[in-house]
Amino acid sequence: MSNLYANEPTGPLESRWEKHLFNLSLIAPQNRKKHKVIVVGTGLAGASLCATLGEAGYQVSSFCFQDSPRRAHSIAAQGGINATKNYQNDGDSVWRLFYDTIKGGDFRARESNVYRLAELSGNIIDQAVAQGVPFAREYSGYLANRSFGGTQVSRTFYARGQTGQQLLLGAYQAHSRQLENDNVTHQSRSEMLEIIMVDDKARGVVVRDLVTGEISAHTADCVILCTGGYSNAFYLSTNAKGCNTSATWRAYKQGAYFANPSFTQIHPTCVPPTGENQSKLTLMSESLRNDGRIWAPKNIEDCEKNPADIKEEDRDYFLERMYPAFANLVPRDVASRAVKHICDQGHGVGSKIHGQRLGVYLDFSAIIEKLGLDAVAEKYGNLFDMYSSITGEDPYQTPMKIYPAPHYTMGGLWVDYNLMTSVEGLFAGGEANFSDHGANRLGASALMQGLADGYFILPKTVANYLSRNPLAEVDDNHPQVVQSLKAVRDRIQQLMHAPQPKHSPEYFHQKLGKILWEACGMSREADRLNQAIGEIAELEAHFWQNIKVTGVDNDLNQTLERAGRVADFIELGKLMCQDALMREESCGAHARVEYLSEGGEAKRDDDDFSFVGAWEYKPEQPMLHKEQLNYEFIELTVRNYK
Amino acid sequence: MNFTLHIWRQKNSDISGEFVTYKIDNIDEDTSFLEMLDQLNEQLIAQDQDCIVFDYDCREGICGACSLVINGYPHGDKKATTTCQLYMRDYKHQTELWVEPWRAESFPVIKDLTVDRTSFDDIIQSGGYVSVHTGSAPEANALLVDKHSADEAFNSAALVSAVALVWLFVQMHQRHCLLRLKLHICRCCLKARSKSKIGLEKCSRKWRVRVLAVVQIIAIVNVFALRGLQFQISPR
Repeated sequence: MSNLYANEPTGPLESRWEKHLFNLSLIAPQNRKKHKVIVVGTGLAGASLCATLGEAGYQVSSFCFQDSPRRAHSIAAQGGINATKNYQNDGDSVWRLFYDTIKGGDFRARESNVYRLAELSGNIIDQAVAQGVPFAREYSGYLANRSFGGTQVSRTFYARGQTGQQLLLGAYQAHSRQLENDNVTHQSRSEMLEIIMVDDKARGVVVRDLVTGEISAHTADCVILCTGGYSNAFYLSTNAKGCNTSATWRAYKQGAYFANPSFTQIHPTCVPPTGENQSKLTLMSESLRNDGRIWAPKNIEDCEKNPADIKEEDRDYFLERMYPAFANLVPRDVASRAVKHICDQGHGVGSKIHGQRLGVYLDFSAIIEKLGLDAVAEKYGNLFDMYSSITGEDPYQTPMKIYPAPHYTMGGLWVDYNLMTSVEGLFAGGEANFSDHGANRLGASALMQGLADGYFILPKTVANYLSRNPLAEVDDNHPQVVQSLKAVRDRIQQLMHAPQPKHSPEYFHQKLGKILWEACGMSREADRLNQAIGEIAELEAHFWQNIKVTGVDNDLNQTLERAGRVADFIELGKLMCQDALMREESCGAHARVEYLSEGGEAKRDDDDFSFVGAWEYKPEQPMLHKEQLNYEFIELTVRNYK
Repeated sequence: MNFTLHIWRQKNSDISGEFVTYKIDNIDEDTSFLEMLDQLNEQLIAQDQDCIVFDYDCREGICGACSLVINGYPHGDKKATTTCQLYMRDYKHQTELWVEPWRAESFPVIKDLTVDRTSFDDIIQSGGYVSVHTGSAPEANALLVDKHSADEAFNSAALVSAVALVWLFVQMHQRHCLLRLKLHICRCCLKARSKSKIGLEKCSRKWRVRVLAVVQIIAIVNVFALRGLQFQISPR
């Protein structure tokens, strides 16, 4: 175990980023063309980074596994993006967003990074508006805002329920512009399967062309991973089916530390699961909690009834009852745990799965009565349509049913203040890194972080790295390149030809998901985690013995793609449980049953656990490194939303 | 629910394909269409066969990755939706389903039900963007956009992918009808479709392709004109 340092600047918080910017080295415009940079992933962070580096004049190569960069999962973000514009004059400021983010994250994020994020947030809105992103506006023509879970100000900018889509189209078009100008080259349907390391520095990637199965090496001066999160480790999550950990896991295997892997967010408002063969869960934007009231039947015998037949006095508006100050707008982890608690006590509604009803009502009747159908449709129309197409029920008439689902991962590759991982020349941006959200992310902060990393932070810190590290050319015959190619090919052969091929990748993925959801989901405890670690180790051995991939490897083979991703999820799943077991406290989304108050609130242990847990890969047991979190500007308090 | 499925299998763009018939039983009505195909693929793996390849990603109707022509209708016969948002309860009165890829010259089949749609990216790259550098944007509220225009801009922006569909529909209708296709376009496409009714039947093939590309670009530029309003459209 050792202490990790984040290379943070010192001095007053307000001037740290400015001071740091001045200290970063630059590269003169005429020299930028000489530097080659690889960006993996083209979501908000990746696309905005490619665009910005391309504009600056670097040679950029980007890769994504989807058939077009514009399909990255950022597209699915519904609710909005936070910024400290204070257009609503309700007392917002950089300092307040900084404070809300740290508090929302239950005091497990780095002060300097979070302050920088809050500082840059306004600029992101300017940039997006200039690109033509059609944010909602008032009749006066000014930009509109709404409030979002966990905050008491209206600082969220939104484009109906499709904010992520509109922001991604903006970033995608900026990326496309650089492609047209030949500053960026891009390959879709390409999956990164290895990092090429030369002299302990990241110098390239090995990529599989998903159409032809061809394995190729690409070298550069540095590599930036903007490859998203790993909620799909749980099998059922709100992530797109393709989202995976393979890029970040390969980085981990090459020496990049993986930080806080157990910090995974379970989103309270998702469409409940209906059956065993379900492939994914769908999120209903948190913005619905602004106007919808969450309730469950007070009497267990009412759970089967039509909700319209349950009298007002027999409805338990449990969030309003438990948290009068924030009521339905408490942060995601608090809301999720409350919903689970209610369902565990038998007050759930909807169809039974494994003998339990998993769902509570999200009711819009009050707001429809107050504002009228049209006003509600204007605000939430697309979300209501989505809900009714999934469930076949009309939320204008009957209350929605919701249940929590894995949604976002705060954990990820450990990065310093420059967003560089513990491997030199390997950077991580967006959800792929661990920074900024601590143990719980606030609503509408993911888009903000992805774009801050891509547009404003990484372009500066990558340039600094390139300027300070003169690098020798690496050609395709370099022994490390040859070795990395071989490692990837060997692994594919192993997946294709297991000793006793028996089960599909889905089979293993579902098994893993079940273990993780039960042991490392909304509530965790030592015994169950220990047991899960054993079960996952068994599953891993079982996988390599019995994985069955049909078809051939030099072809478009989605079964092979899935098998590789599941293999990585299994290893990651084990680390998630180890991290959850190590952290003997509850904080944010990480709820250890042993460390919860009677009311179900997280009990932090700041003396012993005020650190980032960063794991280093070792063949036998992963090794823990701690980055101590020092709160110089904020006083640690108990998070209280009552 | 039990179904007989006729699914288009094609090894790659150089080899012609064919419909292959499969049976699938005990499908729950809350199963999505793509989950039904997942279950079929699980059956194929159990029988040591190569899986059916089809595109999908978000499975919540937003990313645009899924495609499929089902019983002759792109994205099925439900209005204004994507294939991933179809549920088997939508097919409870049917027992036989025909599933094939989108067929158009500009979208060659890669394998089975997957087609290559990079031509969309080519169109965006040839001018479908606003020329604004990172860091050079003015304060967001410096220029006001009235609500009506902003709403229309949003509707048009949401069309970007739908506009692209039109291109396909027109092509399918004119040239590649395997089944007798009804030109069935989701509500949000209607506006864009009207733009492409310019007597294409009379043009030679080369010109048809060019005209359609121009229509696309015009549609996209319109989108940006509405979205950006105050900003210059790239001259390309």
